Amino acid sequence: MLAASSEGGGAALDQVIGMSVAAAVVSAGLLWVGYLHRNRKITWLTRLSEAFGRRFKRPPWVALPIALFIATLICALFGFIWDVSLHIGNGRDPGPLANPAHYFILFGLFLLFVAGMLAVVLPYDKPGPAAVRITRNWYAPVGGILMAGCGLYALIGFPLDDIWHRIFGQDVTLWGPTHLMMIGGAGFSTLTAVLLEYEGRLATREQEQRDGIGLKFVQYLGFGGVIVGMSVFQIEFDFGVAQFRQVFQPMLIAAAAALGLVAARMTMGRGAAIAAALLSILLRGGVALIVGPILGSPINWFPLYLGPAVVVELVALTPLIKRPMVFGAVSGLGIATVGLWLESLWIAAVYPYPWPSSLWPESLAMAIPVAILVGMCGAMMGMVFTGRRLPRRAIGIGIVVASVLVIGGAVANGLQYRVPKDAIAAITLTQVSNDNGHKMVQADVRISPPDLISARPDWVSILGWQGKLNNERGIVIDRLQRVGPGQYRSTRPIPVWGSWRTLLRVQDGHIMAGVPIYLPADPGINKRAEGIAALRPDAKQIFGAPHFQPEITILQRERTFDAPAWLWTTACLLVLACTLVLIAALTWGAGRINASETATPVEAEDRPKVQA
Amino acid sequence: MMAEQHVYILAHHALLLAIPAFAPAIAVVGVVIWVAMRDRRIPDDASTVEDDASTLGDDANTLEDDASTLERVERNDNSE
Repeated sequence: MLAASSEGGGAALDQVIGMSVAAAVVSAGLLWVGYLHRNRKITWLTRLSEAFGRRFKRPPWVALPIALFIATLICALFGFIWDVSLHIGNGRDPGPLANPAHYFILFGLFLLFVAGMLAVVLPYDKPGPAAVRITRNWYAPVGGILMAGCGLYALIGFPLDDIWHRIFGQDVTLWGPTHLMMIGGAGFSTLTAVLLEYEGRLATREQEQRDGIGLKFVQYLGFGGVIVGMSVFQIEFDFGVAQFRQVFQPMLIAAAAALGLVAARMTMGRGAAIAAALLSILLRGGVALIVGPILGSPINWFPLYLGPAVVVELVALTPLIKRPMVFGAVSGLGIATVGLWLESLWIAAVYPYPWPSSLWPESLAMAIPVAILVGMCGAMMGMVFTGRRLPRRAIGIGIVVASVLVIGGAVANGLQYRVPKDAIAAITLTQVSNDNGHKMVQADVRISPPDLISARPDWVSILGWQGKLNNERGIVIDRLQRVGPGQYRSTRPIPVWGSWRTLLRVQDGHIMAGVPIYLPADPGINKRAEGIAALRPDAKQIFGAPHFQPEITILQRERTFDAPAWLWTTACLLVLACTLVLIAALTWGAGRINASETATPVEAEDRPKVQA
Repeated sequence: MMAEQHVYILAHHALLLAIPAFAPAIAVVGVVIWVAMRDRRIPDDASTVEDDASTLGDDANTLEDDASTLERVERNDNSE
C-alpha cells in the first residue's frame, strides 16, 4: 500500500532528473557535514548535540539522535497509518507524488537513518565500552549503527518495492514482502533506540545522577514505542480489511506483547508493563484520532495490550521475576492465554470482526509457542537493559533462532487456506436508494452447499472499499445477519456505484474466499467490470449465483499473476534473507552491549574468588 | 501491452519518490564502509589492525584489544 500508481501521465523525465539531482545534493550535504565534523572543522553540530545532551542528561551522541528519532518515528507512524487509510478509502493514488502520506513515510524513514548516522558520526571519544571501531580514532555506538541499519533496511524497501511491482504488479496489501521491509525496519528500529539510550546511560553511569521525570517518561515511551513498532504487522486487522486468516491476529498481538511488555517490566520495574501499554495506546490513539475523525479517513483501532500487561505485572509479583528466562516464558504463556482472552473483549467491543470461539484452538496453538519464545527474547532484552549477564551465547542465539523458526512455522500455517470448490453464492440485490447515481442495495445471500459455513465463522460479510473518502470514508463493512442455514442478509445499505469495490467475503477456519459484487471497469489496470451489480447497473433487482474465488483476485485487482512461480519464491527468499540479517544484527548488538558491560567489572570481581 | 505499460508507470512513481531518500543513505553507508576499510589497510599498530579485522566475529577479544591499545589515546579527553 505504500507505493501507489498513476494511470494517467506518469512521471515526466524532468521529474526523474530533478529527483536525482535532489538525491545528489542530499548525499553531498550529508557527507560534507560528516566530513567537516569528523575533521573538527565545524563546531555547530557539536554545540547542538551538547545542548541536547545537557538538557537530557545523556551524552550528546545519544540525546540528539534520540530526540530526532522520537520525532521522526512518530512522523513515520502517522504517515504509515494515514497512507494505509487513504489507500483503503481511495484506492490507488490519482497521480505521481499526489499522496501526501508518502512524504511523511519517506521523510520519517530517511530521518530515521539520519538519526542513526548522527549517533555514529557524532562521538569524538569512544562512546561507551561496546562501541564498534570504524577507524583508529572513530568509534560508533552499537545502537546508532543498528538504528542506521534499520533505516537503510526500510529505505532499501523502496527500490525493491519498485522492482517487485514491475515483475508482479502492484500488491495492494500490507503484507507484500517489500512493504514488510519498510514497516519492519521502522518497527525494529524502536529496539535500537532503547539500545542506544541504554548505551548512553552506561556511558554516564559514573556521574551518579538520577534520571528526572522527563527522562523516565522517555524511557517508558521507548517501550511503548517497541510495542507500537512490533504491532505494525497487524494494521490490516486494525482497519477491518485483513486479507489473511484471522488466526494471525491473536498470534501477532501475543508476540508484540511478549517482547515489549516483558522487556519493559524487567527494565523499568513495577508498573512498567502497564505504563508501556498506556503509552502505546497514547501513540496509536493519537494517530488514529488524527487520521480518522480529523482527516476523515477510514477509522482504525488498535490492541490495548492492557490485559497482557496486567498478566505480566502479576507474574512479576511472584519469585519468578528473579529468574528472567523463566519469567519471560511464563509471561509469554500468560499473555497468549489469559492476556489474549482479556484483549478479545476489547476486540469484540470495537473491531469490525470479533474473535469467534472457533478461532481459539488454532490461534492458541500458534500464539502460545510464539509468545513463550518471544517472551524469552523479551527477557533477554530486559537482561541487557539491566546489565545482567545473558545466558551462554549458544543458548541466547538458540532462543532467538527458535523464535524465528516457530514464528516462521506459525506464519506458514496461517497462510494455509482453501477456496471451496463448486461452492456458489446466490446473491439477490435489491435497490434501496439511488441518489444521483449513488446506488445502494440490500443483499440476500444463499450459500450452497448450505452447510459449507459453520455456525461460528470468522466472518461472512460484505466489504465495500475504495469508495472515496467523502462517501462514508470510502469503506463499508457489514457482517451479514444469519437468517437460516447458509442464508444471510445485509444489515445496512451496500454501495454499488462509482469507484466502490464491493465483494462478499467468507472466512471460516481454513476457508477463505470471496465473490465480487461490484467491481467497476478499470482501464488503468486493463480490467473490465465484474460482479453482478456492475454488469447490470440499471436493474432495480439483480440476481446472480457466481462461484467463490480466491479473495486475492478481487482484493488485489492490480496484481498480475504472469510471473513464474520460481521468481516469486526467489524474491520472497531475498526479502526473507534481508530480514534475517536485520534480526541477526539486533541480536549481535544486544549481545555485544551485554558482553562488554558484564565482562569487565564482573570478571574482575570474580577472579579472586576463582583463585581462592 | 497496456497492463505492462501501466505497471511500468506504477513502478516509476514509487522509485521516483524514493530516490532522494535511499540513494543518499546507500551513498553514506558506502563511504563509511570505505573509510573503515581504508583505515584497516593502513598499517599502524600491526596487532591492533589484525585483531580488529575480526570485530564482528569475536566481541570479547576485540574489546580487550581495543581497551589496551586505544584507551590511552581515547581516555585523555573522555572525562565528560
